[in-house]
Amino acid sequence: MSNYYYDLLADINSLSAFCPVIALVITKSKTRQDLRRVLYYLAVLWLFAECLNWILSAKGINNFLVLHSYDTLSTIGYLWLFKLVIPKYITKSVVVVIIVAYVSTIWLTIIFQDGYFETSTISNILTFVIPFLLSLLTFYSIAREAIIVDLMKEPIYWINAAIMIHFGLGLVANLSLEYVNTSVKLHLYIWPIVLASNIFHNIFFTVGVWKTNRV
Amino acid sequence: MENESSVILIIIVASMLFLLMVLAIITFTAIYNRRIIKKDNELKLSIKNRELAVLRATIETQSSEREKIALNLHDEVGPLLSTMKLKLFQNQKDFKAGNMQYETFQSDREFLDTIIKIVRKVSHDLSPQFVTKFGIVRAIENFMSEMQGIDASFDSNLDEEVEIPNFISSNLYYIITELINNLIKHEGIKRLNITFHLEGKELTIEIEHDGIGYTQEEFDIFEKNSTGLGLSSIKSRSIVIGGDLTFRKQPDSPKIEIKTPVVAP
Repeated sequence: MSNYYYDLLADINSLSAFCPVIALVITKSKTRQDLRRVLYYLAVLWLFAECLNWILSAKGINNFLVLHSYDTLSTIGYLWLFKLVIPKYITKSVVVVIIVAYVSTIWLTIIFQDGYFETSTISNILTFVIPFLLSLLTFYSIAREAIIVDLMKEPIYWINAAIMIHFGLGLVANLSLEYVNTSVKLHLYIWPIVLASNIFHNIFFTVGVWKTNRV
Repeated sequence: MENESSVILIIIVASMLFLLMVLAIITFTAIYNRRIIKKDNELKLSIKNRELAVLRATIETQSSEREKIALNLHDEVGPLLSTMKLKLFQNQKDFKAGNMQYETFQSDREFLDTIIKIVRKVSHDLSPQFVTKFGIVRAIENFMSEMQGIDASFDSNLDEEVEIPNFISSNLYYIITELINNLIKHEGIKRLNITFHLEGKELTIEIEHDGIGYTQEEFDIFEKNSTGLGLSSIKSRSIVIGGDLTFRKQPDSPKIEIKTPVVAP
């Protein structure tokens, strides 16, 4: 992929991070306040991380510490979201246990390996595996309980689809990155997959936010 | 270089496959969910229709029984009581004239006995007390003993200690007697064999006869097209007690089978 298309994809990805925030600002909901609070949290977090990342990259400053912090905060946000979506499976105590286990594993690994400014395999895998498995559980729950009459009008369906596409593809891409760590050329082929999954995620997520409008 | 290219190819193919798998999961969830909800709606509709059918049949049965009682009282008891009243007027006149005979009292007493018998029959139609007092087996035996010109036999493995709720036994009695009355009236049967077979908590009643018989489909069509209430009443009563009514048209011996739980539904 030429640098022009790669940059274009990266720009589209950055711009798409605005979509969920814009959708949240212009839509209103009386009955979905809990859900919208967590959606706001996640959307603002992505936008903030995207902007910070852009600034740091422009100044040539290592951004891995920001990435680790972002991973932690976004995973907490997703757990909060799944607590609202599938309370039958993800209870408060389950959320607490997962958060404690996840945060301690990630940060102890980073601290002990002195990996503040480099990528962490465990962090990458856990960050993508947890939301992916929970989105799979959500679809299972939706199909099994069958209480949502029209899934196309249901915000959760779109948001969960966004999470599944993003974290599913992200997981494959990150595992591949681990495998081809030394080859810069291969990185250039894998990053577009990550960027494309991000764009898909933001579009589907925006549709999900839009579906909460006036419900 | 060649190795790198094959790695890229593998990664791209793996990513595409994974994306396809994810999309398949998303689509499958939507389709499966829609199918389940459709099935659920159909089931709810069928339950609602069934409940409506039972309710309608119950109301129709109730109204038909009221009509039957009113007809019995009007056509049978009413004229007899009017006649009795006239007789008493005549007796009054005869008594005043000094023409009162002993035979007159005798005749009046017999006439009153007839009225009492008819009132009992009406009362029995209203509520088959024999069934609740002596049980379904004795009630059916009693019913069959009153049948004339039919070679009837009855066989049962029902123990007298087995207590069938009154609600079930009285409905069963009505179903069986109505079925037999229909067989006599419409098919002119000459031979009848009834079997009661209790296994666990399920009672199977078989009615074999020498009539033409119906298949299940034929019965359903008759019941649907029938203007009378007998058939729909039979069907609704069998539904109400949680029973299953089956018609079989075997060549040598047509059979009607009723399977019912002997505990209240």
